[in-house]
Amino acid sequence: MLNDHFRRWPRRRTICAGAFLLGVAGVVAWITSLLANRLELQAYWEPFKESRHNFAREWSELRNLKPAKASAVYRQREFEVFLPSPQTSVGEPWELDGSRLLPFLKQFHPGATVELHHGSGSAAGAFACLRARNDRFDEIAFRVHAEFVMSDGQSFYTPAQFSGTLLFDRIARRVKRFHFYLPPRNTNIDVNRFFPIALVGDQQLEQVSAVDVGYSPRMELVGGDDQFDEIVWTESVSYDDANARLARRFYQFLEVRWRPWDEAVAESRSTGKPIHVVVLLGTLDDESC
Amino acid sequence: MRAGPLSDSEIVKLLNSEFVNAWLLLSDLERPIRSIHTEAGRRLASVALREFTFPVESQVFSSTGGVLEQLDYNALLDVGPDDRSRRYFEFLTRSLQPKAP
Repeated sequence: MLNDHFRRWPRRRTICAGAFLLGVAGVVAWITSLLANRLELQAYWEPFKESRHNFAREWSELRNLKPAKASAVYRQREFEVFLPSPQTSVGEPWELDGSRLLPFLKQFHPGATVELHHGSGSAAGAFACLRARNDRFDEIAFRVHAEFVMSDGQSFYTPAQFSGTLLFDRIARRVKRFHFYLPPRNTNIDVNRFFPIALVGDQQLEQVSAVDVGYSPRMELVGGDDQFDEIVWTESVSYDDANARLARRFYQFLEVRWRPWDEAVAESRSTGKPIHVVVLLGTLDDESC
Repeated sequence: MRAGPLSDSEIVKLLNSEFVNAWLLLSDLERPIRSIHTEAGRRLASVALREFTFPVESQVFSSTGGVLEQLDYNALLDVGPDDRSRRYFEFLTRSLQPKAP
């Protein structure tokens, strides 16, 4: 039977078929490896919902903000910007290269920049912290300060911060899950709108910048697999602890012992110390004001 | 301000040793029922709101709720970055000095 088969399939043809099958297997393996080397991120952006000075109602560009790309595929090496050096220990923050974060930010808006327009009054930068580790996975928490230059080139949309986590499989050298988001606390967006000419009362003013502070309920990039929720870590710090460590890398003023208002009032009464309070439009420990 | 005076090591030291420190959103002052849970806290919050100058202001209250000093952030912007910490330090130390009856 086998001999019959070989008789019907001359040797040259058998070699060709084998080579073809090997070729197909190779292509499949190549495609599989190519797909495994990529991660698709979905972008979500709900624009300004509430704002103090009604910019959202009066400025159509602001009202119509949406992701530049609803989904985008990233190569694994693009995520390397978030990965720690081999010597990094759990809980230890390090600085990220902001320029390599731009592809992620530009999935939201082409005007993304990591240089904040407030200059020395703002805390630009990006930091990460190895939050948890076991013999296979690393979970990295990060915080990024960035903003978006609007179409006029002189107005700015500044999220309070971007926070997030990345789950990395050190054995497979793959990012398994990625989440990059604006924490949805009210307020979380600072907007500076530039007017070449503005009428203020009876006066015509040139080059006026007006400010609004508002709230965007959702702005995030998300991708990967949720099946990794039950990972048992051998070493970790809590999410709150990791986020506090990251915040301290941005803001030296967090060395001040700040109290919630009710606690401050009670403590002042019991100790006799005066209360020093900063009253402002947006949160003090991010870039929303 | 957070990257300026509030990050100055001398000011941080003074704030931690002589003051109880807090920050408040204007929206919390306007709707204190949502985020301030004690009667004493709401009472002092209403004074903070009445005294507030837009857009950012630092205020110091005595432990009995009297207004000791206020510093409008715009006044800090009028001086160069190097003088802002000095101004803020003076504002804080002034609030610690005994007031004439």
